[in-house]
Amino acid sequence: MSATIYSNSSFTDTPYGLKLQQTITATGTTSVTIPTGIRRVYAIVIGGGGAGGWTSAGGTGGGGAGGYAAGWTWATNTVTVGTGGASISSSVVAPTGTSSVYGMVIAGGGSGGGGTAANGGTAGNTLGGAGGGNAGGGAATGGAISYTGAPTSGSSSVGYAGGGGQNANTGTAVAGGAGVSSGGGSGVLNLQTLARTGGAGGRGLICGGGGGVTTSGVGTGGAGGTGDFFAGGIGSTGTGTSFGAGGGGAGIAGAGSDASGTTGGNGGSGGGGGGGSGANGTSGAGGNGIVYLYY
Amino acid sequence: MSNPNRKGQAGNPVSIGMQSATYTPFVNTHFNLPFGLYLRQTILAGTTSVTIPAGINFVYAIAVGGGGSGGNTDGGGGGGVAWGWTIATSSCVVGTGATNGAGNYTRYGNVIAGGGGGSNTGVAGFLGGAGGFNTRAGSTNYYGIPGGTATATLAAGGSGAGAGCGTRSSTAGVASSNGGDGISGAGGCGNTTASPGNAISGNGGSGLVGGGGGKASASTVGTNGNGGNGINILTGAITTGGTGTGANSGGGGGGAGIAGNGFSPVGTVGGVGGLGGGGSGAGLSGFGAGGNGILYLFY
Repeated sequence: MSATIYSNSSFTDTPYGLKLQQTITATGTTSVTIPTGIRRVYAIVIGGGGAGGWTSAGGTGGGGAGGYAAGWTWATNTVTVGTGGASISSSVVAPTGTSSVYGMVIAGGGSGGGGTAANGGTAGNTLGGAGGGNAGGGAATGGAISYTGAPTSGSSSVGYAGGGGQNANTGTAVAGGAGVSSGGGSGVLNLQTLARTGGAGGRGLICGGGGGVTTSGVGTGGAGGTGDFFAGGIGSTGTGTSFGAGGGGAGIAGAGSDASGTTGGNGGSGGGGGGGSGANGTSGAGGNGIVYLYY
Repeated sequence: MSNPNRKGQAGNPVSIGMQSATYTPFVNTHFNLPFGLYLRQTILAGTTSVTIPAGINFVYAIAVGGGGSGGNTDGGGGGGVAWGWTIATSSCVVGTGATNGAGNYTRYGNVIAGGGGGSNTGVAGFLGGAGGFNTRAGSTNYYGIPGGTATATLAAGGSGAGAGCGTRSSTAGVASSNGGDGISGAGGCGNTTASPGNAISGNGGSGLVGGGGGKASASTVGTNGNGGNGINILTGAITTGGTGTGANSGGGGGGAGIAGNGFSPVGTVGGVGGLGGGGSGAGLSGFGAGGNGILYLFY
């Protein structure tokens, strides 16, 4: 028996056997050259990760991972690679990552981590972008609906895009929700002398950042989420308020960075979420997005 | 006989095959499984790593989440099912069935399926998981296929990716709702008729994965629900739900999984769900565990 994908209805478009031909990391909208004769391309696109949260008190949420989408599209000479949310040290509204697009395949950015109780995970994560962790007991951001139509997720919940970790008690660490793209961990703010750990980024293909912690005791920032291909960064640890930032979440193309003091780790290349800041610190930036083209 | 149209090994460029009408991109000619591929690995709950041969960039995955647990009255919901191409990775998550609540998720690459709803706690199913509690709706799956609605009448729950539940009966001789049918069937509702009235509980819904059967909560007369049936997607054979036994002294049957039959109750403990996401049956003294999830990898 012989068959082709054109005469046998059991076949659908399959990427099986294709090779990775181009990896595009330059952010923004740029041009790409597709060889003559290639009219369709299988694209995998990842949006930018969200930045970690910031407030002068520290104990902020980790950023959510960027979204993931894959599928066939017509060949085009234009590609957009999303940026990760920028590191911040003066605003309680952490930037959300931006979308990546190739043809009709699109993935959104992850949510920024929460800075204060009134400024939880930043809204605006779209198309598979995961939620940012909360801070000060405020609201975390849920995960966004995906390119395939998988539903949104609530805070701390599993989803295609996981929700940001949310704690009601500001001294309790809650990890980000697991998923294809996982949520950022919750921030932990406790000025007593108790040992505290920030919420970890969720487990996923692409991961959220760890939440920051502020305590007079031994503080350990939450670890960035561990991905399928790369590790998350570790949180900083030590006694007093000069430590406790969260690690960056793993991207699809690179590990998350470790935190240093009260400066959150950056998210890994390919959508990792940034780590939340410690007291008077700086948040970790989200990892930039990435686009893979197979044909 | 060799395939005259065969072109290239896995991992080689096959773009020409995608652009013209001449070639097939496959190295094999086994067409009974998805896209002519072979089932290479079946991965059970608790496994976290897999080995994919060099040169295999894409894998077709079918993921099934863990089944929900039944409670004292209603059966648990079947775990969600998701399928599709994904990039190859050496990591995986295969969810366990619940012992008291919703089942756990299963993920390989970007293919992810949620767990079935848990009855005792009323925790909803997610990412394709079916409902497992009185008037609980099912959930939307990986592809956006909506979950089944809950019914406020004694009709069966609504169909959907993860089916919905119906309503309990408290009237002697009037059966409670069966769980809705769907890709994943919902748990059947229990019956709260006072003893010695005839308490008839609902059966679990059927699908690729079955829901657990309901339990007659207090009456000494009545019928406990059977688990819903499933389908073994590798063979096409029906997997069967467990049979509910007794009334107050028994329990609901476990729903069938995608890879195994559901079990009948043991004493007053509800039946365990079948392998591959079956929801467990309700029981007076304990909750049978939902069936563990499963992961199939084709390449």
